[in-house]
Amino acid sequence: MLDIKNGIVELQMGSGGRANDMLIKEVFLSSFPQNPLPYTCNDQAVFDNFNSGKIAFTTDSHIVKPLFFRGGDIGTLAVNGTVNDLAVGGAKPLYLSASFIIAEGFPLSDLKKIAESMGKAAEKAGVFIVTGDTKVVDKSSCDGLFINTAGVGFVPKDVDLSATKVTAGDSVIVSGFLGQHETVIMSQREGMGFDVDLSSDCAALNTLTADILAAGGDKVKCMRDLTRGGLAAALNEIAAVCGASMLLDENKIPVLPQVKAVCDALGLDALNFANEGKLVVFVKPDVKDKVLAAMRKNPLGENAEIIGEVITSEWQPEVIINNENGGKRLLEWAYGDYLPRIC
Amino acid sequence: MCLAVPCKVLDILPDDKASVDIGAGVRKTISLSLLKDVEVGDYVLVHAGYAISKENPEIALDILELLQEGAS
Amino acid sequence: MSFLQKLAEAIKQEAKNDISYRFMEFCGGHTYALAKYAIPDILPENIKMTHGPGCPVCVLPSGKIREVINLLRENKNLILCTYGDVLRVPDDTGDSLFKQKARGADVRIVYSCQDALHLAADNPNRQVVFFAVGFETTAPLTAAAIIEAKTKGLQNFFVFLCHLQTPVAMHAILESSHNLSGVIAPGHVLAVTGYNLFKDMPERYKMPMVVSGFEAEDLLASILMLIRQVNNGTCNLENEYTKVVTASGNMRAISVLRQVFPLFVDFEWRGLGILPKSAFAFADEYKEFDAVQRFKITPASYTENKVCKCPLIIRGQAEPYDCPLFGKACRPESPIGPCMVSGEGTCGAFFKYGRMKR
Repeated sequence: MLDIKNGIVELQMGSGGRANDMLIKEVFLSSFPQNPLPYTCNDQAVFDNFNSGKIAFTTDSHIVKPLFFRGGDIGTLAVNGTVNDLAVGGAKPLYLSASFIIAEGFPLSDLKKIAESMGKAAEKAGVFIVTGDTKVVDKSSCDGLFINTAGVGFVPKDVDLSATKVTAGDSVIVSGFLGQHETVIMSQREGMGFDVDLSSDCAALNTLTADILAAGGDKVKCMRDLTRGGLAAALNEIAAVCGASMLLDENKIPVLPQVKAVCDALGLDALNFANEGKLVVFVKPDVKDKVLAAMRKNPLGENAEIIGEVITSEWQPEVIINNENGGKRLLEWAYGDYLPRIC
Repeated sequence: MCLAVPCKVLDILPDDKASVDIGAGVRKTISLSLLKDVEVGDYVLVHAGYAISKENPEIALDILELLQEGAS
Repeated sequence: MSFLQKLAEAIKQEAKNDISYRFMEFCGGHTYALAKYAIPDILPENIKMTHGPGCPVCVLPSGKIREVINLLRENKNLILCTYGDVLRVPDDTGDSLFKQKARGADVRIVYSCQDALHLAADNPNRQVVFFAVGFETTAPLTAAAIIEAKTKGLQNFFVFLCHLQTPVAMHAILESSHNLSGVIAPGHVLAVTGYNLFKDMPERYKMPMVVSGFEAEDLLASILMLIRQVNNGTCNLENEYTKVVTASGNMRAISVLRQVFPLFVDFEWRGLGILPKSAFAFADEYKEFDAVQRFKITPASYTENKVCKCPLIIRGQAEPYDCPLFGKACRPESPIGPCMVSGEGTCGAFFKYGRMKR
């Protein structure tokens, strides 16, 4: 039995032997929802073919620092991030893998907390963690914990979303307040030193994406979750892919006053900040109000807003904001993170 | 950056410091070592962690008056 | 109508059609605000805003960056602290502190020099150098940090001093040939020094000046005040930013500044050349904190990119679009000249906000 309360992760717990087996069983498997698949102790997870639809597949690695923050931890991010990458593709998320690279000396109690967070997040999202890996490395190779999750989901045949389908005239809707996650992480980093009464917005969005598709049907063109790089990154990426520009109304873009205050104080733009529970969706304009109403009924989308529309590009695909004073500015795709290890 | 933001002083702290509201209730600890006679309730301009000036909204330029000058 | 709309309307009404108004601001914060609020979009065609050398990062010559990079190469255990914008300024070889960080140098962005002080206190076995950049708004902060370091007896805290004087740069611009009709004076510099610092300038250069705040309303009000002066032929220093700026400024900040940096030395400003006595220098009593003295830093030689038009842009004699590198080889992710690195630099602000007015 491992001493979860006071023990630490040791090198042999990553080497495939009995110590490794104990780590997997006592920390991880005991924290995750019961694996529903028929066989669970093999090198791979095997499940039935989806012969009436498509398979969505994605992966994400998590390196956030600090590991624990208000509103979540690296575990919640690891599960929700991958669930969301599947959900915005129109998929019902089903199964996740989880791989851990752990520094020698990492407290087992923290690892257990993180595993339990993952278990809770998986349960809430209705997904199962069915395969994984653990490795332990010396402290100089890793300063704590890195997690990779990959996920598969089922996309019904009649759901076909892609940035390539976005065209001039489409409406742009965001699901709520932007920039919250990065603001919270920033406030908990040393040297930033501000106190903000907010929590990360980390959440699984699969119920929201299901509501969007139910309301908009095949008039939903594309959804994207807004993580690193924020709204600016997602919109610029989509503009580049579909070849059209976007015109947004600054007054409509939801940003909490606390997030705005931090951005103003540091000279930053909340639209470049990472989120962990927000998405943007592009729909044909005739369903924009219906989709908005459906989003607002879901707690994850209660502050959703139509923020603009897709327009023909005059010059090259770009994202333009009409600011409060009637002037225009470009919403640039930031080259890198202002703050590293945000997700 | 020449960036300085107006903040409301919430508490005076030891060591020439103060806790200020940078907006919407977000608190930050800053240095008062460059500004005299600061009291709770004052508005100060904060630049890179230091208060550099008081802000006195009651003596802000009267825009209406400015506009009316042109009309006359 | 909002005040903003009323001000914009008044500007339209009062600007005379046969006059070409050309106003320069000397503050990176104003450059940034003008772009962020898209003020040029609201102004009539015959009012042009130009940007002077108000961004302290943009006037740093490549030599200073090279000197700091050499410092890092020769002192592997050093912690270098900088304000964010300094990190990506390229020297004439394209190297930068950001790239040095990627290669393993311990370079840290700090929000305040207080953070650099704390690092020094927390790491007594390592030397901490703070790269001090900025004008009179920022110099008192560095001075205060040095006084605190001395009081606390810190032996491992040093400053690479590049604090510059605003009036010297303004004189350089206004003494050379220019086609300016008015100046928007830097609001935060004068909040610290008091507007008396500029009181002789309007008469000397026959140039109307208005000290401006940083919101859209402030900038439009200041532009309106300048238009009126031009129309009336007056050359006065007016204060739009009355809620912050006074005649004599912040006496304590000035006193702290003079205590630590009472002297001035010549400094080569990118785009302006060597301006005599334009940079702050240590009092003898505080020379122990001078990184140049402690680490025996020698001036680095360099050759600025000849195609880059930053030197003209800083003087307001060229626009970003006049530079063949703008938007092509020189972009925020790959800046060649310092004006592109910072959102306060003319090219950086224009790239992000100003491209709408092509």
